[in-house]
Amino acid sequence: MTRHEPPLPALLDRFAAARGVPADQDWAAAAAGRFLPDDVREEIVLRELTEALAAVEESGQGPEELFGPAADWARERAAEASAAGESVLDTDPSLTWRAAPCNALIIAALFSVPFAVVFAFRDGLTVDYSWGHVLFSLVLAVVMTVVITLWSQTILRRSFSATVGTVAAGAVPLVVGAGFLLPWLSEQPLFTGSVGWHAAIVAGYLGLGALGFWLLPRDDVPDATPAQTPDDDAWALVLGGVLRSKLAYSDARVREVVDEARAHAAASGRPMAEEFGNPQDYAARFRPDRGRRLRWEAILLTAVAVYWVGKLWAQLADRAAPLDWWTVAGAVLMPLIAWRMWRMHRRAVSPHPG
Amino acid sequence: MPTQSDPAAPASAAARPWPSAWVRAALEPAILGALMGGPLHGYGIAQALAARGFGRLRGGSLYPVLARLEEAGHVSTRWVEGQGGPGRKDYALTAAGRAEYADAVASFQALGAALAALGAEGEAGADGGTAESVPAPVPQEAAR
Repeated sequence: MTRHEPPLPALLDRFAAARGVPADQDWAAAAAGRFLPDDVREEIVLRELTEALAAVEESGQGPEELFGPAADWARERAAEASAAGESVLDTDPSLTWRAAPCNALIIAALFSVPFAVVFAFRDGLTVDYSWGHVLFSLVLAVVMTVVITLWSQTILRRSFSATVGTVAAGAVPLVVGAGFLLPWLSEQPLFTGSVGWHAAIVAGYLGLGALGFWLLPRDDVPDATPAQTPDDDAWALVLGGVLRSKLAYSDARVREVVDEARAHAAASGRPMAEEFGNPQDYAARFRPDRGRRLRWEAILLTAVAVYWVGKLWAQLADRAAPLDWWTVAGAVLMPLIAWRMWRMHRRAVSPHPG
Repeated sequence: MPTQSDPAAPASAAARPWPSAWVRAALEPAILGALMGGPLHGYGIAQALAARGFGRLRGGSLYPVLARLEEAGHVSTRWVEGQGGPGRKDYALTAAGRAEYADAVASFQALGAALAALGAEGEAGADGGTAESVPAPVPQEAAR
């Protein structure tokens, strides 16, 4: 790619300016919103949107009129690029331990906003602040970051079932530890003050998150050994890791792709790196197993929904305890979210989607 | 992004190698055509295509296309365990794949006819003829 496409926000602004119709920007944002969860490489997203923008500017017609619904168009463009042999998927390693503190701070900043709202509703205008109010979002963010990073790093090297075992073994003590820590923190008084102090807590986490984002090391380091050609075993290990982590392939399917590549290399008498190129780029030419990914996400969300419904049921059974409104909200919302995920899964695996 | 075929490879069926863009455009039907004679494994398909002038097709270009054909139901697969070495996956054409191949060949033929007709039309025009004097090709779905 020789052209330099503008960054995404600027591109979206240009959609709005092209005909002076804000809906055009919404269309472009919806298309980008479809590309990004599908892990399409950013340069492809920018290229496709830039070309769509050019068509809008030249024709004077809206993108919906020219290309149809944004999500369908985005899917079609990604599929066409893949069919043309392009490396469509972003196969960069997702999360590293080096970036974990930064990620935890940013997640804490995001968590602190809804927690502040919940605490504010629960505690009223004057609040007896405890360390729990301050650290609740950080503790949960640390647990979440450790679990996600452990998953991202383990799935690159181990089978799916081994990764589930490793992550479960790591997550259980963390969750149990957080389960003991959070009530204890809630009992450690800090000060009594206005509900407005929640805004300061949110701002503090947002500031720390932003500071972490700018100061802590990130993942954008170049490949340490780009010039070295990996041997077949190292090549196969990387390919398997990318297929499992980024394309959500099952262990059996990964084994098949890797074994087939090995058989081809053996028949051709050439190393796998020479016959297939970079393993990340090779993996990026396959289509991700969206159905499998959505199924696992749906299973996880169903487990969360069962927890919330169980919590509500326990509260209803214990007539002495007051009913928490957030428990009711969780017991209503989580099953709905889980149902939506199952619906997305059914659509993804259906031979005739839509 | 170019297909990783080697355009300089000797082509036994063609006088000179086809441009890689043509090979890329024709890769799916070419693979289906290579399977018309019976099941083949990936490397066998690559060899069959090389023998027909498609150049040396590397694994990096071949298997993602085979995966798409399998997903589309145009080929079926069977894993054959190797004796002492790695096993291999055999690909066979399905009925849908056969129909797809016939459709693609007809489309490419129509494309060739349309190209030839354009030239003939130009020559006829230079001789004072009209476009109507040139036979129109059978309309086909756009070549994939």
